[in-house]
This record gives sequence, structure tokens and C-alpha cells, in this order.
Amino acid sequence: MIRRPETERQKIIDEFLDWLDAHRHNLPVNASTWTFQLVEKRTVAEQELVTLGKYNAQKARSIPFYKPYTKIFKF
Amino acid sequence: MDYLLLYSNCVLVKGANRATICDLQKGDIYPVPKLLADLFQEDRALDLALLKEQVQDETASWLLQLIDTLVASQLAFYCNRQERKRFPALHTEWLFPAHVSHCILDSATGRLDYFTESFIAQLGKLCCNFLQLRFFGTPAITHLEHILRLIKDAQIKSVEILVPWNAAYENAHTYAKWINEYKKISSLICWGAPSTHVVIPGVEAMGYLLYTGEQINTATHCGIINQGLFSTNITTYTESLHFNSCLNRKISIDVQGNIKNCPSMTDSFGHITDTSLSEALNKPGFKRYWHITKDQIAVCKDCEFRHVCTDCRAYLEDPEDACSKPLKCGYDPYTGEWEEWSQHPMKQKAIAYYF
Amino acid sequence: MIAIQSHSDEASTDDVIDWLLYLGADRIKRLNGNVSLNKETLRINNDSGHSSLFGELQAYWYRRGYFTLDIPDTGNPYPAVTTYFEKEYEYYTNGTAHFLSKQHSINSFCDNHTNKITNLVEAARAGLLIPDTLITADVKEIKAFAALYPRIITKAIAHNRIAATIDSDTYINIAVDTAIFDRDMIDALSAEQHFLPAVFQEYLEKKYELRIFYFHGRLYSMAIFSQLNEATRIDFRKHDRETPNRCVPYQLPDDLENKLRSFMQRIAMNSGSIDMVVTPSDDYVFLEVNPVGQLQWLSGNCNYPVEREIAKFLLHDQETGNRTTENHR
Repeated sequence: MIRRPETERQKIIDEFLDWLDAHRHNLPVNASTWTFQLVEKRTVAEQELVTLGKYNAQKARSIPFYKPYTKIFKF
Repeated sequence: MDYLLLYSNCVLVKGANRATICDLQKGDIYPVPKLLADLFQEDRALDLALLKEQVQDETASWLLQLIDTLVASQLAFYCNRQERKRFPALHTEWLFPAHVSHCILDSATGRLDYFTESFIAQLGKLCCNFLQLRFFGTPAITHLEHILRLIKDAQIKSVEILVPWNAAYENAHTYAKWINEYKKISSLICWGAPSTHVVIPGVEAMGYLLYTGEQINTATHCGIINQGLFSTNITTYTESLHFNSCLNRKISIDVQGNIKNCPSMTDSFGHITDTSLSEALNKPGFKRYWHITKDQIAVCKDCEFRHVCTDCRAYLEDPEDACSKPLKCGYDPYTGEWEEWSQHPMKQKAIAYYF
Repeated sequence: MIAIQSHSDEASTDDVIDWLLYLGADRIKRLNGNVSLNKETLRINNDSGHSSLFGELQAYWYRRGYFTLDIPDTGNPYPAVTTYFEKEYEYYTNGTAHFLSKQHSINSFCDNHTNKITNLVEAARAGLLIPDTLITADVKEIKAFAALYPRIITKAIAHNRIAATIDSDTYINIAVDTAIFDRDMIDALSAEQHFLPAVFQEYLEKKYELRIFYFHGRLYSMAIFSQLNEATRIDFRKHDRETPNRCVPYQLPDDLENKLRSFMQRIAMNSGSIDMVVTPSDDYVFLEVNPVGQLQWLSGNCNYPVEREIAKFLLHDQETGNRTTENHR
């Protein structure tokens, strides 16, 4: 999906902050330590994931071997 | 404070001329003078009171400065006598659950016709999840994509591919397409390219595309030892303590289809058309090099890089001696100098023997 | 059947399966994410029990994920009926998790319900030191508490993330992390206002922090030198990617190991990751236990055979398991 423009993102955050300020006394007494960020979900398409057959696993990224396989040219 | 203690994943490796501290957590190597290295008890703890007693004047202040650098680099910390026993040395067992850890397949023609689902199942039985495909001839796009599709849903975790650089493939953006589409490619190396450069840097050592100007058209190009090939991590370190750092748990099929420990070696343990990988692996002699550690190899045993380095038993300085130094290593641990191995006068006889 | 409940992208599960395959396990079933019980059957009686989920169960490992019962939307005009279904079947999913926890098993979905407050109480009863802790909304109490210590911190009681939905694909992620509750924040509170309660604790100066993986009586401990990096001084989970904290094997004193074992028995959790602090005066202070903590971080940095030992446990290969554990000490 396409990310919202920055102004619109800021508007959502401002509205949230206003709500937080108006209701501070109805929130937990430590709410001043909360941190937050606006998240726009980007669903990873199934085919983007790496499948490990017999592990029944689907990973965002697979893993490299831990050492050079061969020493065939100079790095 | 009583001691300067090295963090247990920062290991001291002493060589003939100097030592290194290998930071196995962060992957860095720090050379240290032998004088300092020798002060560590059990290669880990430096008794600060003893240091002040034994070393005088300028040497003492120089050493104290070095010690401060070790602390600032987060390689060591100060601790007292009680704390020291709370920080045990790193457990040195090699923890890698595989009968075969990696497999190398060579092709002169650009074809690997035995690479089928049942071949992948054979690898699966050996718990082999890491592959390298080395093409010395250009594979047809359909053929390589067929192989990559087989790998896609298999247990294989990653594959490194070496192919000859081809202008038509480049123009059709084939290499970048492979990297984008087949997420199990750890690196794709195109040799014989017009220039040497990283095309796609990848993320965390996956999806890396490199062009190199070098000509890598036979397995005889293998066996190079240099600093770019060091790997500074716990798995490599612990493996090197107990096993050969190149040949352990390796299986290969050479350009003729012979199943070998390494494609550059002469011993064959059967042909892929009539022998399974497990059969070859269990034949006497297949694993004969697996237990030759760096501590048994001439010159390497005196090298401060021996536990982060690879090895080679296919090309040796003295072809008659199984524990001889790798031919293609230009480092001299007695002087601390790197030289071009192929120019070295001592190596000319062996070069004539192999090539 | 060796049954594993996890997520499809959970790396430690892959690592344990690597060991299971290496050690010769042939029947492994891994369920991922949300597992529906609609089509499953649970049989329990005095002789044995059986769940159709896993057939003949050799061992069970709960790592991640949960059981659900999908309640069809019938356009029901009586919401109380739907509410009844939800409550009713929650007891079924929890009961199934309990049944599995009584097999040869590691963890259970029920462990997710572990309570930090309960655990502090039980840790103290097991003889462990705990930080002075205050749970209140009373501003006067907070001010009096803050006056006792140079600094105080605050953290969540149980849940440290809120996803405040904006629309179907946008939300505000609110993090309730461990944070310093400083003088300005305290001064800003008015005693006349009525807040909701929160947790406050004395701030502990740290020589280093400990992450201890407990697993059926065995303990694997790691020291984290979080003080070296400013970003992680309060909460070591806030990792600084450039300079990761130095993490090394640690050997706990025997009496402390015994107290931790006794604590884990008290809270009836057979595996978990325990967080502790070592203070500059060498006191060991218990902070919390997490039933499904990160494993690769600990085993990878300390070279502990944790994943192999889990695999051996699942294979009922415990004799060798114990021997290996002793060897590495």
C-alpha cells in the first residue's frame, strides 16, 4: 500500500496527542512515559517469504552459511 | 581490581610473532603484541598486581596503555578474584547439527542434470542445507531457473552461485531478476565481468550480487587464503579447534560427476550416476582430512589467524606432506608479512607440480 | 509424534528442528500461529488422554501461537449468545493447552498468563531479592516512594504494547517500556486527579544484567554488559544495533541456582527466561520471567547447547542430555 503523505500522518498523531492530553487523568499514572509511532501495515506477500520445506517455516529472510564455501577468488 | 579479564567470546590466539584477540561476537580481529599476550593466565586473565611487580618503567606504562585500549574497545573488563570464577571460558564444542554442512557442485558445461528432487532429498537426509553451485560454463536461463525453483520450497537454507558473466544476461537484467525472485540466493558471483564491483550489496549476507573481472573457469582456482576470507564467529572458531576448517562436513561433485570431499582433490568415492551421497560419505577415506586441525598444520600452527582462517588440503606447499602449509597462503606468521604467494621462490616447485 | 506449536517465522524452532532431524527424529509436526480446534477432538479419561491434533504424542513443545475456536457469524440478534460461546470455548482452548502441558512437554500456552506481580511475590518467597515495588495511582504514595530512592522507574504490569487502531491497515503503536520516571514527571502529577494505577520500582544500579534460560531444572546464564552502551542502560532489550551489548556465559552461585529452581517450581513453569540484575554491591536482584524468551541471543553468544538439549528432551534422550550439561560446566 502507499504510505500516507507526511501532513496526514502528522494530523493523525496530533489528534492522538490531543486525546491523550484531554484524558491524561483517566489514563495510567505513568502514561507520560509512553512512546508511540504511527504504523502503516505493509502486508508481506506470501511469495515474498522464504519457505523451508520440511521445517514448515516461512521466513522474512533466509540465512547464509557461516564461513566461505570455497576460496576461489580474492575478496 | 585484581584482574583484567577478556570477555569469553573475545579469544586470545597466540602466534609466533604476535597474537590476535578475535572478537567472536562482533566479528573483529585485533592484533596484540606477544609481550602483552604472554601476561594472560589461561589466555584469559591478566593479574594486575603481578604485572606491576614484574614489569618496570616504560614497558609497564606502555602495557597499561594497551590494557586501557582493550577496555575501551570492549574486549576486556576489570574484575576481582570472586567475580573471575563467575565468568567461565567459552564452551568449545562445535555445535552444528549436520552430517554434511555444505555441498559444492561444479559444472563445466552449464548443466547439473542430476540436480532433481530426489537429489535434494539425499541432501536432506544428510541435514545439508547450504549449497554452492559453481558454473565454469554458462547455464541456460531455463536450466538455472529450474534448479532455483527446486531449491525454493526445499529444506535448503541458502545457495551461493558462481556463473560466467554474460553480456546478453546482463542486458536482460537476468542477474538482478534472479536475486529479486529467488530469496535463497546468498550471493551470485559473475566471473569474467568487464569490471569488479558489488552490484547489489544484499542485506545481512543474503541477496548479494557481485561482478568480478577474474577468470574462474576451473576448480584449480580454489584454495586461496587471504584476509578477506577470514570468518570471525563462534561456529568457525569452535570448528577450527576440532576439525579441518575447509574440508570438515563438506561434500562435492566435480565436473565429471565424481563424488569427492573437495572438487580439487583427486580421491573420488563414486560417481553420482551410480552412488548415493550417503554411500560415498561412508566409504573409507572420505573423512580422512576432517580431523586435520590448524594446530597440526605446519606454519599454520604458529599463526595468530589460525582460528578464523579457512584451510586447503588440495594444494600444499609440500605435496608429499598432508600436514603441509596451504600453497596459496602468502602470510608468514614469523615475520607478520603478507606476500603474493605465487611469486614466492619456495612455492615454485609445488606450483609446477599442481598446475 | 513430536509436536511443536510455534510461528512460521520463529528461528529457534528451526534450530531445534535441525537438531531433531540430525538426531534422527522422523515424525515432527509443527503447527504455526493460530490453530483452530473446531475440527479436533480431545479425549480424556483415567487411563490416558488423546488429542486428534497430534495423533500419538511423544512430546510437546509450546513456543508461540495459540488455540482458537472460530465462532461462525450467524447474524445472531442475541449478542449474549455469542459472548457465551466466546467464554465457553475459551475454557476448551485453555483446557487443551493444560492437557498438553501434562504430557512430556516444554512450556504451555497457559504460561503466557504468568503474572509479573505474582512472580515478584513468589520470587521473594523463594528467597530471591526483588526490587522495592509500588503499584498505585495515589500521587502522594508515588511522591513518598520517589523520595526514598535517587531514581525510580516505571513499567507495564503485564502488557507493553497497545495497537491503537486508526483504520484497517493503520494503527498507533504505543510502547509501555521500562522507563525512568523522573522528577519532572512526578512534579507534573496533581494529587487531586484520579489516574489509573501503574507499577513503580526503585532504579537499580547495574554492574551487569543476567539473562538466565531455565529448562526443566537446568540453568544457562548469560551476563549482559548493558552499562557499556547508553541506549540500553534502562532496558537491555532496546538493542543498539551498531554496538551490541557484550554478552558472555555466566556461572551463578549454587545457592542462587537452587533458589531459581525453587522459584520456577513454585510458579509451575518448566521453562522460561529469567531477567536479573547484579548490582555494584554484588546483590543478585530478580526482575521477571518470560515464558517464551529469545533463545538464539543466549545460545549464540555463549555457545550453549540449548537447542540440542531441547531436541534431546523431546526425544526422551535425557541421560545424555544431563551428561552434556555437566560437561560444559
